[in-house]
Amino acid sequence: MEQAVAAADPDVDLVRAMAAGNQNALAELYERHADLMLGLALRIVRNRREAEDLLHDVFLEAWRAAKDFDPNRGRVRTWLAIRMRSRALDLQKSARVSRNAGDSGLDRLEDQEARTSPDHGKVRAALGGLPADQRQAIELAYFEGLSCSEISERISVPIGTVKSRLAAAMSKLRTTLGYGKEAA
Amino acid sequence: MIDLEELLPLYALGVLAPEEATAVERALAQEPRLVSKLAQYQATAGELFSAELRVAPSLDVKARLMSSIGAGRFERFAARFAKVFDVTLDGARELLAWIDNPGKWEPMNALSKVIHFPAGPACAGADTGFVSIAPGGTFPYHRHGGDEVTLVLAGSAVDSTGKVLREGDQIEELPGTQHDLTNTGQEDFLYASRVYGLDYITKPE
Repeated sequence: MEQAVAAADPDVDLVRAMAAGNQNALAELYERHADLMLGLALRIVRNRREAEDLLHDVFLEAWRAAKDFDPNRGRVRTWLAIRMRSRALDLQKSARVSRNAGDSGLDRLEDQEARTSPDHGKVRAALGGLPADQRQAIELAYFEGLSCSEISERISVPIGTVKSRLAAAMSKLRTTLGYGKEAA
Repeated sequence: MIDLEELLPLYALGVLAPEEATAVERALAQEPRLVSKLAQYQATAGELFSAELRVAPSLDVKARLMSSIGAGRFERFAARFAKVFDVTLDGARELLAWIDNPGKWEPMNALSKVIHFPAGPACAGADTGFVSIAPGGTFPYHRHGGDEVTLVLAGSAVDSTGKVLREGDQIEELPGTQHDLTNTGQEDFLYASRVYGLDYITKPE
């Protein structure tokens, strides 16, 4: 199924062109996904300047790593998002971003310039369809990069319960997002 | 006994303790059936970012990105810049991209601003940076203890000895030289500088 998804991904040709040194291809890939990646970065680091620096760095990294992109392993925008999330979490965990630094970033996130993507509604609805405790666990894991034990500490719930909530949530999300049947 | 099936989604999320992750990897190596299931969970985790709203970046981010890959407005200076500041060509491009990053600039006075950047080992002990002077602005009178290299990236200026500096010029001053620099043009005067022992002194009458 993933191969079918990859084959239908129009970004794959852009990344191939980037690997061949086509600078316009990177410009186009940036135009297509920069605002989605910035939304993700802002959600994690909550500071517009830091988030925009990450945006530059992630697309530069994509330019340099274009040769290594394997379309059989998923979509281009997922490839970008994995890099962005990882860099943003590293930055968020370092001392460079103060906890209070980012209110401006959050404001920007909520104002009118923020737009939605075709998948935004689908994923948002899938997350919204989870029981509140499962959604909270998923958000702490994905957007804050916390491990099971850290989540357990953060919300004062036994680690076994955290694991069950995450597993149940992922199982439902997998089904809702069309990646497989629940409880095979 | 750990339920490995239950650990797969947690592994995909990257939330397991190292020893649990290792146990999952061992199981994956032995049971190909688990590999495709894990791929489904990884694809699921890979979609979660789509829940976020899109936010339009500032225009300068794209300009910086294009500079960093060698398609920027200062690309024609990249090779010379790399030589003067002892950095790689890619390093030069990334530093030249800083010019388009408003967050990097620090004000010097009402009409001029500076970015200090790190240069290579051959520039040890030097002050290396970009300086931008708005039309009518002056870089204050100073003397350098060591030599000075100025690479003019945009605009034009005149120094107090009457020397005219124009875009593309690379000027090397000897130790002990003293002067100021006034932007006499209509656009910002922008240059990269490598200077040792800069002293601001009173301009002689």
